[in-house]
Amino acid sequence: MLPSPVVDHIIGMAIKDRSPAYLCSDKRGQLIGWGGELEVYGIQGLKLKEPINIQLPFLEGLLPLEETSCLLPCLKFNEKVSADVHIFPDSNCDWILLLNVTSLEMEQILRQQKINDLNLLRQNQVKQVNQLSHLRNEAITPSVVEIAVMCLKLNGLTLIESPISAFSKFNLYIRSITSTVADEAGIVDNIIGNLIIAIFGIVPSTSTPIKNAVRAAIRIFETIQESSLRENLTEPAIVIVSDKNLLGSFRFKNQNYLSIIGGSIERAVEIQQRAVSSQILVDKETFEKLEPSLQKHPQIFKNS
Amino acid sequence: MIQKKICMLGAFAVGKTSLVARYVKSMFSEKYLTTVGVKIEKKLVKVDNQDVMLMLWDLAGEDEFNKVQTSYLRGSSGFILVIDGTRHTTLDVALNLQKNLQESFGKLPFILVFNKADLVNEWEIDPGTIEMLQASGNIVFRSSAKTGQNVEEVFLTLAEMMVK
Repeated sequence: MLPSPVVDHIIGMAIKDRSPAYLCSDKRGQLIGWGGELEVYGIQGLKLKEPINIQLPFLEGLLPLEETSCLLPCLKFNEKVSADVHIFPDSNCDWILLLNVTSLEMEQILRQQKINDLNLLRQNQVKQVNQLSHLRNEAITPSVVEIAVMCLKLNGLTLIESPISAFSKFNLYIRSITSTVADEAGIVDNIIGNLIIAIFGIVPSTSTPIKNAVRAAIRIFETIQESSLRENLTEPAIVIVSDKNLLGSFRFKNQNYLSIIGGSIERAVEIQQRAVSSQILVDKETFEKLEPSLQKHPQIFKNS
Repeated sequence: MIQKKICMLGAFAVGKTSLVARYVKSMFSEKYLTTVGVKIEKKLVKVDNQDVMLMLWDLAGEDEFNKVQTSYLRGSSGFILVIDGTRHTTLDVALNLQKNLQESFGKLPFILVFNKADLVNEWEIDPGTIEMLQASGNIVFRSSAKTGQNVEEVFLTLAEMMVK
């Protein structure tokens, strides 16, 4: 049991600058009481025994509560005020508590705006790089870059009875993989049969190519676990190889194509033959570059 | 008069707030401002000569770390799932949301809205994908909050689906 001065202090802190206000509704959805700083939220002219959802439309469909309480975080009441709305049941009524979160919301908006702007920027960069790989008239200045190659093999497609279903599944897989790879600053470079090759280290990133590739591989398995993609298919086998390679472009049929020359892609494809479903098999040299926490990841294995 | 709650859902920066602003206030801004939490707007429409007050819940978009709060969705009569035609990943987000919604709330009316039709030359989503979604029974619109293309139609169609 906490001493009452401590409890008072905690309560004082919890409601300081939060303009607490409350409303009470009976189980028929009629307003039966209110109090606190309702004017802060622009709530006025309330009428007793009238439907609460008509007077306060944000409560439409929410009352009466059946059993559990409900929190609506950061609900904007007008251009200037936002509140966390807590709705909780009592024996014969429901309580609605409003707590001002305007200042917290302002901070969160600034953070979220930055995050979303950066994400859009990155998605845009990925798109540009993808376009770059198919530029018709311009070539890339060749350079030596550290890249990571992720080679992913989808197994079990031929076991699906209907060819339409098999290809529909394959399409879903490719879309999901492409977006996860893009999220980790990679690009899907090539698809040969059921083998998907993604490259990391071309799109600018604050992280290293190998870290991005491993993160993408882990996230691909997570996405598959969470989605319907796993139905009827065994999980893919993923291989990751990282090394320095030549990056440039070649011209074929009047178009320039992005090209990576070096041993990484060949090595990845070769190791892929030994890869097992649900595993991320990392070649020996690349494995040594991984952080210890990743080396211990249950799905990551060293190719020896 | 009856009230119906509609939730606007989708990935971040697909144009949920812009669609609501275009519909309710006939306004559009090129500047992207993120939504945190939820904003509620109202619009009175007529369906079969009946007044229907639409409560439009404009929810913060989904990203890797912020998933939709299910508490916001309680009491909804319908959903608008917004997709940015220029970003393929936003279709995956919308389809995933739709799947989760059906699991949690059963079969409620919803519309898939491919927004940013004014940027159709930059679209990553091909017409075949949209036709496939239509063919499998989904109500699909191509819209533009910038030009107003199909914005009224989206909300009115959903209102009719919810009332009937």
